[in-house]
Amino acid sequence: MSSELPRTLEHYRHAVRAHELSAEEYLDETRQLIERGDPQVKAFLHLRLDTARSDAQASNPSSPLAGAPIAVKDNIMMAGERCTCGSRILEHYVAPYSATAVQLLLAAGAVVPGKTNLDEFAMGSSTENSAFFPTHNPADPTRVPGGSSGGSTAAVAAGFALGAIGSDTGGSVRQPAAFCGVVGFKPTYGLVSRYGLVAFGSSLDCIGPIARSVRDAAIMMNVMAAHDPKDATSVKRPHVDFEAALQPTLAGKRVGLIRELQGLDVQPEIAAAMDMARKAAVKSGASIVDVSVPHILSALPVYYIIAPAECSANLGRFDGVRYGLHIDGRDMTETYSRTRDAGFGTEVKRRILIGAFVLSAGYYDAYYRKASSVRQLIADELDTALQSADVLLTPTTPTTAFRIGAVTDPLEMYKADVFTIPANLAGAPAVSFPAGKDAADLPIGLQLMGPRWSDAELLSSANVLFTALGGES
Amino acid sequence: MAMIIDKETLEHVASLARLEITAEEEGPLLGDLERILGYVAQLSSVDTSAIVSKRPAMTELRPDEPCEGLTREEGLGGAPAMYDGFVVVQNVMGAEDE
Repeated sequence: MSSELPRTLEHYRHAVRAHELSAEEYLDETRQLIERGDPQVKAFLHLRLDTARSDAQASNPSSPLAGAPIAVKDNIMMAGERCTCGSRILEHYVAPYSATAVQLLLAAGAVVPGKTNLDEFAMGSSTENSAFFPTHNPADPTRVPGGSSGGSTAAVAAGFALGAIGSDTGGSVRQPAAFCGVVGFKPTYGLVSRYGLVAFGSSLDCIGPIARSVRDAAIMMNVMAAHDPKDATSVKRPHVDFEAALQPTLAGKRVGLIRELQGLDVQPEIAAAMDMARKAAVKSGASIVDVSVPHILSALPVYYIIAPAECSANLGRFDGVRYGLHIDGRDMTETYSRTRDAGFGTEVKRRILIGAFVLSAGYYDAYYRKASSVRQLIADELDTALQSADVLLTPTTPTTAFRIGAVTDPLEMYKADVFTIPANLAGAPAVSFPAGKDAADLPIGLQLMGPRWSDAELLSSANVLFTALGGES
Repeated sequence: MAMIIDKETLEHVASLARLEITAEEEGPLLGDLERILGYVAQLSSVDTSAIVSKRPAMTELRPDEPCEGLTREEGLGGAPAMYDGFVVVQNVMGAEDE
């Protein structure tokens, strides 16, 4: 039965509109997959399948998402549901309102089967930093799904949802999408509202769709991309139809390869996938151009100054007074520190301390100010490179999914983000799409990055390469 | 090579961040922070003297006008302790040993 179920949002919507399938039938099948598979995968922190089923029953088949199950990362608020951020400090916190992105999905007919696991406060690349439990990669349960949106990407890969949303601060949608063999898109900064996303690094955070095809990501973007006065960084732009913008070829496109990344050590099968993508691009009418982004390798150290600095400021609000956990101390100061000590995990503490250090008197200029300048330099260099290329092609990750527990050194873990971070620093859109498997049958992801506000063209180019490399159109 | 961060600095930064560091945490944290800060310190060799950005500002701000939002109850609903519509905190003005 499940093999006949539509694999993509596109096919699901078609089947529901043709009355071959109802939203509640699909949700019942999804429930079975979740009940059978999630005890092993552990993609969800909380399920709400009964409510989702009533929502599916009430959904309108002609609405854009027609009752399709879309999972939501548990750092994005949904009114009346817990929002833990994968942290003990918010273990019992219930969201008083819904994020704008969630509201838009619900208004378009989506139903939410549950909230998905993540690295605590989205800090991590493996979902092992969740305070509750690690998520397992559906392609191989001994391996991580990537992170921090590992619950969302695992849910989509395992068939627990037709799509999901995650947050991407340094690659947290794209890297787990690559590890799980699904599509993950980080839009241009300002295109999708972050109202209701629990803030980590405010100058970097974006909400993006996770889907089984690039077209599905475009369908979700049609719903999620909207100006929101409640997010001061949301930008008013002319309406774009992301799905209608998908073109069949890359005719006339210039695909750039970044010279400075060529020497990096990547897994041989990923290098081979890059080669195949390059050939597919040429076959589809694109030209390949060599571009230079001289300081791109400084993106990683820049990020690990800027992101902790912003996180140390944003996480100041968790003080045992306004939200969540409260542990009494002798006075306010001790109450703050005892609450935060009990509520935050090791990686979160590490990043808060780095952030507090680089922002503190005597170190601010050498670290934070310097990193901000180098960030500008990299963003300017990317702008220049994107004048001679329409898109930049890179791997999404240097390796495929690693084993749970295999990477224990935080600095080694950070290096998994080397290809994804530049887009966050520049506010540029970037998408990871599946491009085959490695020798151990683990998914490989490749990334396309484009100029700011080229989101529709970028998804179009990714769709051509994704389908050329075997993905569903 | 000189240490970037020593025990005293770590304790100072932890107090700024309102974090308690236990004795068992201190050693591993010092090692991790030293290596991470040593890694990011490579930026000091990047020449940033000639940056002239042509990029537009990343954000457009709306006028700061009041509009409908959460009710008081909704806004305070997540607080661990409330009294009569206010968040309860410990005495911050009194003597330390009351």
